[in-house]
Amino acid sequence: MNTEESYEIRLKVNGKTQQITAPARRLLSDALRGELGLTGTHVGCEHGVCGCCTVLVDGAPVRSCLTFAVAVQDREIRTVEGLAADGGELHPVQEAFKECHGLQCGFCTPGFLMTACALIEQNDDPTEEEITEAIAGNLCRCTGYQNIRAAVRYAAEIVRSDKT
Amino acid sequence: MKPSPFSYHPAASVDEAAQLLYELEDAKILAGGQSLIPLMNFRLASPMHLIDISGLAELSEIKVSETEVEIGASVTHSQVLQSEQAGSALPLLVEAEKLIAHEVIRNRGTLCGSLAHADPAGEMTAVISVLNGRVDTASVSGGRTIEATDLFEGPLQSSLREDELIVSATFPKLGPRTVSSFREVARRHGDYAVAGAVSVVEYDNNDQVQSARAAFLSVGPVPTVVSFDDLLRGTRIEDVGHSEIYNFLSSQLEPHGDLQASADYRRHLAAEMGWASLEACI
Repeated sequence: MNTEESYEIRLKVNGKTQQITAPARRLLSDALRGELGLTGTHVGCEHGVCGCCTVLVDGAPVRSCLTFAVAVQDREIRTVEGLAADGGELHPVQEAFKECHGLQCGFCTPGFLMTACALIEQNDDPTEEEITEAIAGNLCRCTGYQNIRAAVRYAAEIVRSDKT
Repeated sequence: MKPSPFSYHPAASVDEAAQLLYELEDAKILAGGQSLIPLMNFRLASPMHLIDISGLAELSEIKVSETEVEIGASVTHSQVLQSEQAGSALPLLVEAEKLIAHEVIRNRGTLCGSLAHADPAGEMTAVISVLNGRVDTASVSGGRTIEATDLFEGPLQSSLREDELIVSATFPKLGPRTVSSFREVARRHGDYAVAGAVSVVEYDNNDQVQSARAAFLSVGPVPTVVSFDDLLRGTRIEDVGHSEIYNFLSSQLEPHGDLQASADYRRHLAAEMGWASLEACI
């Protein structure tokens, strides 16, 4: 039987560098969930449509199901597990999604949280249009988008009030 | 929903990428992967080797000259969108980039990659076609220039040879009396357009049309370029009007039908988008 070629892959996730051994075809989403046990990143459609697997690479939201782990070595990867502080204090986007009922079943939530996190880190006073545009690539099938938009708006408010 | 096995080769230079592409059997270039990886996840594509050019500094530049904007092959859509230099030199690039998928895809997907992918639903295939742009390539036997008119051969088929990669795409800037506009219809902003049109209109010194053309996306196997010169030269778009343009386009375009739209509906939408993009150039 042919054995598939393995690669030593250094992944820097939530500030911690870890080495995994995986084939080149290992998607970042599967490396995070399988090799690193970070199952907060969800896998929905696996072809870049649903947005559940969104993580940040060097601060920018990307689809981890459309990214090979081997191709993002040494880049700064952030997942939903990296949002809350070590003591368990929720990140503003988590706090806001909780407050505004921005989640119901929670399957799409990690993707929305990371997308919202990237938005408010770039711009803590987004317009309604900017919020809608930012989350347009994420699908939610149960909560509905109104509460999610309200949550993003409120997350930005928390960030602004934390600064003052 | 998982890709089949392949070997990964991060290229250290364009020369090395070209050498690998020549030597390795069944190899593909990986830049952003936002078109290639979905195809691999579906196993519609299963290359044995991927040559990663995303880290190549020599392909990461946006160069603006007096007459042209040149985009390197590792430049992402987001980088084009954020480039003030490119945006002020050729606002059409920014207008088109905003229509391409969502930010999360634009953050990794590259402009040159979408040209190599040669999807007739791709906005950039229409833009490079209407502007008569070109791509420059590299290979072990030397680089060449491929004009936009010769680049697209069919759906997802470009005229690139198997041992050849795009190193940059070049878009001519528009002249001082030239206006452009992009209009498309998608079920949801960021989705593939059901139909769309990008128009370029050049006016003479009397503000009458000197030349006008449009490229249509999602209406054929390759971007379809239609000239309005016979209809509009020496006159004004508003004087010719909607119905004449609409009828002309309906007779010129031969779209296909699919799950999203019947051929007739798509012809209707394309003709309306053609008119809308021309009207926006008034």
